[in-house]
Amino acid sequence: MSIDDNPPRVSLRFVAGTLEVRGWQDAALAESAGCVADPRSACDRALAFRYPDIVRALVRKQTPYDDGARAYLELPTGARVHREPRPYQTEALAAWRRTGRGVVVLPTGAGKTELAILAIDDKRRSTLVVAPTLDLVRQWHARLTTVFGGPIGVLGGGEHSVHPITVTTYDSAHIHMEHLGARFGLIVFDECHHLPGESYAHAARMAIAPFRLGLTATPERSDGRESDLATLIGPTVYRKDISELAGEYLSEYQTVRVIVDLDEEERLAYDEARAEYVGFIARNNIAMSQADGWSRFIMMASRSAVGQQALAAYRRQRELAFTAPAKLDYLEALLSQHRDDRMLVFTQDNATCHRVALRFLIPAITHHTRVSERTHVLEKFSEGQYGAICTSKVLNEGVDLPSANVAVVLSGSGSVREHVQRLGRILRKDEGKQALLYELITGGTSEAGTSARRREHEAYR
Amino acid sequence: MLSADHIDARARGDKLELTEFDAKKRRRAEALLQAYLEQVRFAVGGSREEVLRAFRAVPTTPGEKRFAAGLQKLVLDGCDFEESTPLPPATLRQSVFLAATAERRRLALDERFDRNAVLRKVAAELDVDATKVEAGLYADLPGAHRLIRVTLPEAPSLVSRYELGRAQAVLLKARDLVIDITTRNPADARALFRKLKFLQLLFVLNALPEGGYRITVDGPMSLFESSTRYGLRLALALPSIMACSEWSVVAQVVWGARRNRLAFSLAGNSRKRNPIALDSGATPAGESEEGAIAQLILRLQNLSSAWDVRASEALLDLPGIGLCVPDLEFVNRKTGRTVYFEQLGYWSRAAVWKRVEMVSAGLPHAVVFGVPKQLRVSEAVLDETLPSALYVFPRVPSARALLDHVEAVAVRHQSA
Repeated sequence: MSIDDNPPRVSLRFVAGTLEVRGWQDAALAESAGCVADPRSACDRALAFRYPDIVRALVRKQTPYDDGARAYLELPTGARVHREPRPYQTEALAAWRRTGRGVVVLPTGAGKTELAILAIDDKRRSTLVVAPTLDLVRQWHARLTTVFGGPIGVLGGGEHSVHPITVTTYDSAHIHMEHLGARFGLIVFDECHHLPGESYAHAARMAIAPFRLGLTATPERSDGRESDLATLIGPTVYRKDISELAGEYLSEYQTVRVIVDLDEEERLAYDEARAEYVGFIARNNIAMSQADGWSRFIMMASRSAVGQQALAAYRRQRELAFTAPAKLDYLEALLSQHRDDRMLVFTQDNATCHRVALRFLIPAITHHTRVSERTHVLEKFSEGQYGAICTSKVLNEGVDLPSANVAVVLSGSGSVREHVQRLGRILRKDEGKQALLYELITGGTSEAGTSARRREHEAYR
Repeated sequence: MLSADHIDARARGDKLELTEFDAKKRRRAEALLQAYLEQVRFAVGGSREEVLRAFRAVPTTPGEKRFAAGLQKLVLDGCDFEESTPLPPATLRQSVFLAATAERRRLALDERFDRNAVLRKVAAELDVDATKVEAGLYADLPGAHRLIRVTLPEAPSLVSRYELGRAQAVLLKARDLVIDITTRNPADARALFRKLKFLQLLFVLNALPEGGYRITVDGPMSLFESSTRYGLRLALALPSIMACSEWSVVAQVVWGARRNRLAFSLAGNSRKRNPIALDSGATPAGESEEGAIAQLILRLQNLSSAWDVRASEALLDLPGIGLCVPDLEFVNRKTGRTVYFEQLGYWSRAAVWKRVEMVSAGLPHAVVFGVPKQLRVSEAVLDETLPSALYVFPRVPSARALLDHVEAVAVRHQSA
């Protein structure tokens, strides 16, 4: 038999988030499937996420190959608990199943976790769920354990156990995917608007998973990189907004905007600090509305004593606006008024969050809070033993708090997404629930503009 | 490790340069480090927040912000902090917050919530002072952690560490490295390649016309996208590069908020060892190996043969398969033919199999691989038709036996 009669088989190997491909004679086809000649290792190399393209090309040409890359399994059993899906969940699953890749956009509280469970049960491949925070990892872990039985793996927060179904954070996925990228056939990206960031996107590229599901309530990003989701996960295959589901599937809600004033002394201090900060940026021609405005301000401020005073002034005026005493007094009244409700108090930063916790003696959850304490606080909150929790950003997303019915935004950024997510925390449907969101703003400060920017969403109209 | 926030560097055209670190700056660094060291040694038992406040009290100019931050980071890296509170804060919080919720619910709408009363009540239950309850509520936050131990060298050593840290901070933002080295000591080169392999970095090796080698280093993903993903690993490789005899490095870095692409260069001539590399934990590789090889050369030179022998500066690379760094180079005085000798360590059989794989895959050089007997590998593993050979030696290589193997390999290589 001549060599041509028995050509060397193509071999695929997963190496550090890439695929090493050896023995593929059809260079044009290899290139079209994403392969590039790599003289460093005398092989062809492709990003791991091109695995389905490579396998499809080989199969189409009936080229024999040894798949030393794929390390994921078919799950021996599926879900052991089945919930009747809501009609829009059934529609979303059907839309996603057409290619097994894509993003589903549903408002908070609409049951995105349930949709992911339906998808895992449908594909029955080793699955990695990637979520933005440890709270969400904890929540996913509990839910998946209930539905699929144990053991469910966890990567992150000091844990490193990998099982056919594993949950991790975006940070851990970024770190570990170059070792684990071949071990999952399906990846669920929860709150997938995080994925197109500079580092996190690597996690998606370093994985061979042919099936990918992205879940989010707000895919839009301020940098416009939501378009990257189509490559990293797949196109948007299904979308429903809050207004389409409110009432029937989400709680009815009201938003209340409360303007408080600074007293005379505070006003004077605010105006003085504001003038010092604004004067500095004007003298140095810094446009804070531009993308590099903030970094230019920091750079210029570090160069002189006047600059450092301007930075201190910036912090002073911001603190006066964010934590105006009148806001805290109003919060005290709200805590009393809603003492039998379940209230979430949102702040812009951890320092304010801890100040609120200390002043009103309510539990705080920040990224410093250990998992065991978070679990305890969330459990007691659900049971009603705690009436309020203060948090900066870690509860903005995803965490399932069905009993929460009142939110107070004490301070926040101008991000529409953040504001919609904070509203979403109190919208999960519950019998007779009427959700209420208070936004406290210090009048006559820059916070009024910040508030106007973050309310530019249909949910606030 | 220091980061970009801890160093002063500026772009000049398409190059990135670290600000000059001259004798005056070095003295200033030493003075500041001395002050910070005194502060932390005095602050043992105090909180992290107190340490940071003490650092802020050391006078610096606005232009020294990053410089001071870098020096402070080095000092903090040598400090051990620990949570230290008689009342476990998480348990304390639970008691206080549950009591506060109950109290709030007990009150009528027109009654005012009295936080101090709650604190007093919990304090009474725990039989401690109310102020201790309040102070202990968030005693587990990093700023409240207590400094328990300081393990730091004196200021001059820290200055050397800072110099290395400045270069590593830039390399954290590197996409790739081009290293030019000469390898007067094969053990240094081996240590470097071991390091690159350990860090899962890939490289392309080319001989330079003026002698020495150019090693282009990046990672598997670099083929597809320019990223700083391997920056940390490139930075970690720096001490091993600096331990080589002569070296220079050019890194393509992505710098600043605007992500400018700039070239960053660094060079060293460490025939006298580089103090930065040594002080940063990069040990001179294999000094004992070096001595053993020097003795072997002497023994070989005492024998009469047709071969000149010298320490090798070659790197033999078979891309995709592996690389070996020979210790000796034999050149036949009559034919000019070259045979290499690489002595393998007694600790790794895998290294032998790697060499066998390289020869079988077509290593285009004549090499004798010296294999210690303890590894229990037969010389017959390498087929006699191949242009290289294994030489299994009992304790130390015999000069005569080695020459016999060199002769045999030269013949084989000619006929291969």
